[in-house]
Amino acid sequence: MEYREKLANGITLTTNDFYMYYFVATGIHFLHLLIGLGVLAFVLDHVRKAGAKGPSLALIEGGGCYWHMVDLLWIVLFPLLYLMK
Amino acid sequence: MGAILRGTTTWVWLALMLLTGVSWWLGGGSDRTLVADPIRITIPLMSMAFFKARLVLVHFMEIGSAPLALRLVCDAWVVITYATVIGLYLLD
Repeated sequence: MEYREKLANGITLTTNDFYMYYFVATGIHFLHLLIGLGVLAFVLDHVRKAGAKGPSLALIEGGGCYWHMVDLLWIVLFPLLYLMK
Repeated sequence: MGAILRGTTTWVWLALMLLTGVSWWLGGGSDRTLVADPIRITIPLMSMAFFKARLVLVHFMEIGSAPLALRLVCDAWVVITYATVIGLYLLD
């Protein structure tokens, strides 16, 4: 990952203000991504085990909405951290 | 094919892809060095980012068909966050 490249060059959370925000923002985002993968696995499992009534639409849409939130934040975070000068 | 082109989802997606391409090019992508005044690039770039965010909110997260209160809260978030980012950037 990108972190490896930065850490290999001695850039950490404490290097300067920008990198503090960089690591915190991308770190929190990545954490939510991992949670989201869990959500996805849970929804998949639920759909597979769905009984006669079928899978819960609310669960599927909720899980989808969560992922939209994660990618929405990245849509803003990426330009903010990588493209802005 | 018809169904794909008839709904709004495909067109919104296409808009998002195009905006992303433009942002990528504008922001320097991987290693293109900036030649123009940073402000004239950054402002359109962040504006596009928040426009894309609102597109995702309205169409993919279905806020477009949500109750007024939720729509207002989401739009308020977009406006306040956008204004804060641009404001702080320009103040620097």
